Amino acid sequence: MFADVDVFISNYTLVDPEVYQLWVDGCSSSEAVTALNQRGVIQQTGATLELVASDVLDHYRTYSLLERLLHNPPKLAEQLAFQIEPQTRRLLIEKYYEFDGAVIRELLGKKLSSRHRKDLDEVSEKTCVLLKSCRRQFDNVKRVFKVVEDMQGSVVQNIKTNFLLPEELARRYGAVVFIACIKFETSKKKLQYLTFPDFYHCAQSIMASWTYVDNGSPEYDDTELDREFLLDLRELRILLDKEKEHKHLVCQKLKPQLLERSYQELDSNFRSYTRALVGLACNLHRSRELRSLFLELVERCLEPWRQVSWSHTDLRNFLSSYYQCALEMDVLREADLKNSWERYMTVITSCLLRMYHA
Amino acid sequence: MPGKVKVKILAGRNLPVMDRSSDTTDAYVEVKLGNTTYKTDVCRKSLNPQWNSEWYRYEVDDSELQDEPLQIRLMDHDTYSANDAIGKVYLDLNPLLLPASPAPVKSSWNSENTTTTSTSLKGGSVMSGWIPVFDTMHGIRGEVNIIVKVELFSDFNKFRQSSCGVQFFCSPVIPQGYHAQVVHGFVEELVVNDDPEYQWIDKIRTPRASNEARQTLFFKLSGEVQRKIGLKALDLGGNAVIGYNQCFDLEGESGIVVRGIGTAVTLTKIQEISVQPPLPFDITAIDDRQQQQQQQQLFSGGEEERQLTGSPQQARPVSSTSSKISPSPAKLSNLPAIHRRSSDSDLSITPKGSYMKRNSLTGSDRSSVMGGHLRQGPAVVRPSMNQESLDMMEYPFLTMSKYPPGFIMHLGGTVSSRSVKLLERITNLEEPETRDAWWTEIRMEVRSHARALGCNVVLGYSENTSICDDVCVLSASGTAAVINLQFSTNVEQDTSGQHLVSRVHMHNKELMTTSLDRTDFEREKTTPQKGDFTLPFMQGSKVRHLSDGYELDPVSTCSVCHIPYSECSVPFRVTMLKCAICRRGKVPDVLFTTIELPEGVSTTGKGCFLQAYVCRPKRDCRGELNAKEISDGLPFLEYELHRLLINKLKVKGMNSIFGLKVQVSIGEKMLVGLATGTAVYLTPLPMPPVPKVSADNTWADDKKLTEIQKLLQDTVKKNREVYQLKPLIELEFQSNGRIPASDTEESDDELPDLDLATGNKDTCVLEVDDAEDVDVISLLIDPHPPEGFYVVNTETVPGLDDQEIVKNLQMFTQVWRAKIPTGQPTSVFSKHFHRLLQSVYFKLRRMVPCALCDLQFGVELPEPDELQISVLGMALGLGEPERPSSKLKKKTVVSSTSKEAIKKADECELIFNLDEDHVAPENPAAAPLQVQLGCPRPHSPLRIKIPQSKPHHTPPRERYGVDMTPLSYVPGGKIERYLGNLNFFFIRESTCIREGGGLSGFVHSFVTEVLAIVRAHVTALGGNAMVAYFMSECVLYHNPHKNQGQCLINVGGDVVYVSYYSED
Repeated sequence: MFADVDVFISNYTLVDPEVYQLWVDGCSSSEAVTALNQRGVIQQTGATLELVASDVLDHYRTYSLLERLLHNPPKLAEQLAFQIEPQTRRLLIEKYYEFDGAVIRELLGKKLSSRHRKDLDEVSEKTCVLLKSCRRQFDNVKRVFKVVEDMQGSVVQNIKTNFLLPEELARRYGAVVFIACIKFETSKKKLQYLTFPDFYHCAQSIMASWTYVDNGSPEYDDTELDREFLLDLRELRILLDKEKEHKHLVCQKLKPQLLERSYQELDSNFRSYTRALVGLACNLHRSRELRSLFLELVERCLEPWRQVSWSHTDLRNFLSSYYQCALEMDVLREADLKNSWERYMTVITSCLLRMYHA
Repeated sequence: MPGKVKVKILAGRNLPVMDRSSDTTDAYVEVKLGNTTYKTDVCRKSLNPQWNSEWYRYEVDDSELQDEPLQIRLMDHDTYSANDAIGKVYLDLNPLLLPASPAPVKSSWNSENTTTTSTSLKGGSVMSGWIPVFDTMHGIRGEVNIIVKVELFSDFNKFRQSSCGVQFFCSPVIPQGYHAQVVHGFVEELVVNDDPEYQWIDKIRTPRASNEARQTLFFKLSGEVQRKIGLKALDLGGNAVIGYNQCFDLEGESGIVVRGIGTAVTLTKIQEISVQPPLPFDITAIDDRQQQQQQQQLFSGGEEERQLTGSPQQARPVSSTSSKISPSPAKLSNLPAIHRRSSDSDLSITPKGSYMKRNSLTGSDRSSVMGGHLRQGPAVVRPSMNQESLDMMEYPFLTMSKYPPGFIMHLGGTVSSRSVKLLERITNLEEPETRDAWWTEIRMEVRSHARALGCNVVLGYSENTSICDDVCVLSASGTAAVINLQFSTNVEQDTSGQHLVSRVHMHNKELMTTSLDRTDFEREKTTPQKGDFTLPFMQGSKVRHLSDGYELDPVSTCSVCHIPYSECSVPFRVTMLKCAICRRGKVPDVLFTTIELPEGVSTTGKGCFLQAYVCRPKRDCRGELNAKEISDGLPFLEYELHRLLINKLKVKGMNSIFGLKVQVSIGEKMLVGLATGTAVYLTPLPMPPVPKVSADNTWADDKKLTEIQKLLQDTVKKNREVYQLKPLIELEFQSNGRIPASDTEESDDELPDLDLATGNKDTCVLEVDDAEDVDVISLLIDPHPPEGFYVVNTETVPGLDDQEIVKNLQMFTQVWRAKIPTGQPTSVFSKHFHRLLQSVYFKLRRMVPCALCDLQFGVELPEPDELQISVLGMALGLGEPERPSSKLKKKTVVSSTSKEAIKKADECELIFNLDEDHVAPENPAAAPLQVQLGCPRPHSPLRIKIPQSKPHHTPPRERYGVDMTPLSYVPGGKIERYLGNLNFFFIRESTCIREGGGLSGFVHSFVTEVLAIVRAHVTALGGNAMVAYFMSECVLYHNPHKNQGQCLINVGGDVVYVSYYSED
């Protein structure tokens, strides 16, 4: 029999982690019941399907009332309508802001406008994540971005205080916000093979080394790159002039570690490699170059290496010797230049290694 | 005499957008009390306005203060059109009119808690905080931060109209931390008014205006009733009303009736005694002499030793009293130390055997026992209630459901009365004579029923109505009982009697245990003692038993169950048997009561929830015909309900019901009766027989019949196992249904009467004549709650011996409503009740082990073919009992059979009373343990499942937010202060039901909002919990065609401040 009213309300808001997860995942209430049924809730508890359905509906009603508050997590603690115990509150927020890498990967580099929100069904199809969940993730990212975009200070810290997210999740959002702020090109076809964790990794290392150093000043902002540093990178051009010396040092160092074939190949192609790497550094101060950083890395570095089928280890060895040998050269005696080279190469090494899926 | 009210509006937050064009609001506030209104400035373009207004002052008469709510209305300023209402806050000023309670004395174990909160709680007359702004059309719309102060000039004018300072408690018990000096008796009041919803003006005003007019009126009427009841309490000499219950009868066209009933008492606060040793070694440090002095102080001061109460073994717990002991570790608080001391001092007075130390009962207590027997000296039972006042009282009714031990002497049984009335428009609002006359009629009937049972009072008294169109059924019910009357409170210590009396106690104990153990050894041991000391008394008591019902009975554990009336004088046939414990008193074969299980009554096994539901179709007619139809149907309904209840009880294998609530609802096409209660096996009462199935000749299928019989038998057997009723049954069976082995000569010859075979056979025969009857039998068999759930409708779970209620988990409300096709058998309906319970189990499945207490069902027939059921209950976490030794534990349960337990009965066992279900008795090492109890276990306070063999809950160290509970206690915590009672009537209407998630969504959000508002008020008053929470009315109108719905909810309870055990 269909009940007109069937509600269960408790003084402390009850959150069932399982049902909540289903809700967050964007299941409709009937889908949730089916899912629970498949997981054997009925066998475990001896409840009827009808009871499970009524329970799910109760939870869904509560969650939909809560959703508005979840958009502003600090309000959740302050509001009086629901009495939620702190640990439950944490669970609510954490799960609501949790995201799928695959979905966010699709959103990277796109404008977070309502026009794109409509296109989410493609994302949903591609990622096999329910449309509702995609929308939630889209909205979350957009909301977080809007709030912290123009805020001073560490972006991760800002996200943590404004959305009460745990460190790890806040970092992930931080990376998304950072990528969006710089407007890195991420959606070109050649970049499609990169996953969100790849970008997360790269963004993390860029944020760690290339942004302004946290010197306690209120203007400190880690979503902006250090302009001076980028300009300083131009000076690395000198390495191209000393290419021979550099090549010599690198080849000497790598010879014992490389196969003969690879060594030959390195020997003949070093020029183009170093041109790619140093050239990139010299042009980073142009924002167009900066935006297409990942594309450049793929097109000018990774693709040639892949063609000659370097192993991951080969790449690591090459990059580390390439970096080390440059330091040994006289041209990098100057402390500032040396410092720039270090800053540049740590990030580039880390990114390349991550992006080289081999 | 005036009082001064000062109001300051600080700020608002989260206000709704009222101006769509600019997405903001220009909010201001109107503050209204009586006819005076103040306005704040307009705070432009802000959803979080800061008004920080001046103090608005009102000088009002104190009676007005009691009647009028402070109304705070948030408005949106509009330059060109009329200002729009955002929402309203109603503040009941009554809690602020209470006398400021003295600063709480910090006791060692909660000092931290006290200090942290006491700053925010100076005086009782300030209320401040964020309160949700409620609009009847939109629900909660933001919050407003306010401060309200009340300064009251006391008025001692004899003819005053106000009753400020009379404290009201919804809790149906003597409040924790208080001691009832005198129970004055029943107070009631009733006011009537037109319902604004039905006035002509309603046709031209907006729904919002109409709803608000109603809400305001409900508030005023509620205040008026409470004020008038307070006046009556003052007239009686009381200073408080407990067990206060207020109802709104929405009679539709004929108006609104607001009724209040309660019990007037004189309460005194038990001082948190400073002599309490904060540290364990204090006790040892105090020498006997000192202790004695302290003891004298204690008792001369009229303070009571709370710990003395509640011992199942205490014969005459005269020190009865006061605070009901919370069935939680809290009760252990500080008292054992005192206890100990007093007993020591006893020792110093009279040399006695070690275990007679239970004479820790006070001096006055002793003499009371004497007095009782000799019928000369005054019997002392506090809370006192004297014969005189009882006679004077128009209605000897008490509305509490729980009484101090020793207060109740005998229970007669449930008495109730119903009356069907035709409603007419109330013409003269000032003189609500008709309604008064109706209730008078009913009360008189209840009174006469009680008298017919030889009882002097009605306990656990309640009144209800059910209205359908213009017909109203009024019901009143309670438990007829004989209570202990008192003539004076202070009696000199009778040292001469002491010696003897102490033996009486001892004897009682032995007697009780023997009856349980039934071992020859024990019997031999007790008999000489009895001969020596108690026989003189016993003989006296034997004579008086039936002739003169107001005497004290020495055996407390069973005397409560003895019938108070003479066998031949009752106007109905009852089966009476000898008491299974003392073999002297007569007991009925079943006992139904509306009260909680009194402490100290011996029970076997566990209690369980019992429910019977009867539905009776009726013709759909109007007016007088309708009234007649209902009136004709009611007796059948009640009979059916009773029969079902009795049979279900038997199937459960139990013999009594406590907390019985019978609700009759009338609808257009149906009459519905719902009875809920907690079934208990009272040890003194005989074991119920297994119902027999019989059929007349027309029923051919013998096989089927035996099947049914077998099913019944199996069920009874299963139930006995589940509820641990087994040991006694085995004994019973061994002796062929006879209660085995007599223990005294006197009762020996009367034993044949106990043969159950001859007694009441006809009552346990179920006739099966057709398929419908078979159906009925299947109704008798209720499914058991799942593992880990204990379900009752009383405040504690009787007989829960291996576990203990340690914390509050969840208060829950359930509302269910569906269309019911007419003409279906009752079984279909009871399915719905089961389903509701099932869904509670399912929802709370992660909280086991848990007890569901105070389960309240409400059933309504809002439409001809619709049934609405609401459930309110409390889930309580069960944990390990505190004591390390299981031996001690066993003794708390009456069914303790080991004789070594008795032998090993060391002094502490006798001193520390063992509350039947929950008290963790002290160890011999009382002092160190006490501290240990005060400090929390090493577990985390959070609900963490500890990986042990069995999951269990641990007591809380603090509680987040505001705890709401329908119970009158907070397990694991102690109620430090009562901050007043609240009673709200909310109305919510919506014209977009479909968009808001249907009717379910509408009700869901409304109930959530109501709880939020109540919590905010509790917090603003400085409380952190609400006890005795109720939701008495939940009326829902629905008009699907207009996509419109309206819901009315009446909630309330006592605001309290609870402290939990702190770390040290």
